[in-house]
Amino acid sequence: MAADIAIAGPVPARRVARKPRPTPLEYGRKRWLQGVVALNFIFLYFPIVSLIAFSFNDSKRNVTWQGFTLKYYDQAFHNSGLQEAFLRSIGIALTSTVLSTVIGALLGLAIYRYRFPLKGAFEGLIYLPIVIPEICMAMAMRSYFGAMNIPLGFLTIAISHIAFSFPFVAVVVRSRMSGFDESLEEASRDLGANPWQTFFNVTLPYMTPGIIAGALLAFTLSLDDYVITAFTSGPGSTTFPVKIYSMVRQSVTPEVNAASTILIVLTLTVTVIAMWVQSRSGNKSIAS
Amino acid sequence: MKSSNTIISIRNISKRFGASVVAVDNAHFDIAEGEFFALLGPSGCGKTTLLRMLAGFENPTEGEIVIDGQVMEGVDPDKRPVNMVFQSYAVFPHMSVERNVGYGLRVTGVPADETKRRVQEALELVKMERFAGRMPSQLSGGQRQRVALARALVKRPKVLLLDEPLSALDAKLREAMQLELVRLQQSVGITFVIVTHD
Repeated sequence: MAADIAIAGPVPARRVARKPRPTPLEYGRKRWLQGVVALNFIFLYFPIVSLIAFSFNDSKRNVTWQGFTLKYYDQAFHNSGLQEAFLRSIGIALTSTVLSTVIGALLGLAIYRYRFPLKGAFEGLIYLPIVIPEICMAMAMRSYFGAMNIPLGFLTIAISHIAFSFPFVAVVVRSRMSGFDESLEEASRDLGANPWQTFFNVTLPYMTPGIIAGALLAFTLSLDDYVITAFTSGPGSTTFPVKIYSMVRQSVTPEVNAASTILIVLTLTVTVIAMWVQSRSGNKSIAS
Repeated sequence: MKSSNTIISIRNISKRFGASVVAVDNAHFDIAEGEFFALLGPSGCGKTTLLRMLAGFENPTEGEIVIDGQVMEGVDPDKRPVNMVFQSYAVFPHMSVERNVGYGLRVTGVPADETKRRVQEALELVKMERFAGRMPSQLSGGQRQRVALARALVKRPKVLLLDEPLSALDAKLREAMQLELVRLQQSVGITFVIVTHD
């Protein structure tokens, strides 16, 4: 026994000193793997980076670098058509976000809470707007509004955006609720709270991170939607993405780049906030 | 048993889930005021169901429950003179210890100064006054249980229901908590109905 112990001592030390063979997906020690990752990043981000870079280019065409300028941002800001489209986009996005968040949150809660006949089919139908090709939904919306004689404009765009946004909110809220301890609600009732007090004091605070994440998702979805918006907007109700596309059809000027950069920055900011809120709530639920 | 006044009367209670599952079959007994009443038995024998019927989360299929002279049929959980300590403790994760304990008083409109005083008393009772400002995520299992106890006791219920209060604690803590519960019951004089399998 004593001999065993004496031998056992130094052996692990020697093992540590020798480098183990890299496992197949050990990123840090495989040059070619790093190369593949680099190529992927270039493929994904080069167009965006060049778009942003050329928005500062002092030339009418996006071909050669002529020098740094902010004049196209200035132009974009003073383009009244673009400005109008931008404000309309924000207005539609806010309207759509508020309504689709309320509908989606209630729907997510209902799917989590209740059992009812044909629930499976119902859940499947809710996810339809998420999986359906956008062009089909756009066409369906347009012919529906046409059949109902609703003039195309702010209202029809907002309704369409709500229709494709609220399922996303429902999915996020539903997944948030899967970690909910129902005895919290029972405890609240037991302590003398009525169902409304229980909802606002116990259930809603738990749902909140999911609701915020869902709302931010709905906002970005609405803000940069092109296909459905193009089909459901009428004359004089152009949104920002639709306006940018119509400018590109004339000619790709750095002004378009500048406008697109603004949209990218805005969407990126909202997405980062959404991810941050979600990760924070995730940590919290693990801790509690 | 300090008094022979009946506080809970369980009269021929049965509970069936669906057609085949019989959770409680014709239970019939009285619990006297100030009693430390334990429902013993292996898991799955309907103890928790019985406790949940006392709290008002389940309705008996047959029979009736009388608490403090009042028939409980159709009385919602928030209107019953009982409070419960849940097996999972069900401490509200987004409220501090202090706000957890005061919750039952705030929602029923007890004045703020009285709430503050009673919360303080309840926290002293379970020796948690030093942790008043902590969040539940910063507490151990045993401490969370004390919060759940204080939160129920602060309501001054006629009966305190405890659903397997010791099952989530380790063996050493369990023994200490058992004695603690008996001490607590004697000092507050409230009837305890406790579900346990040991």
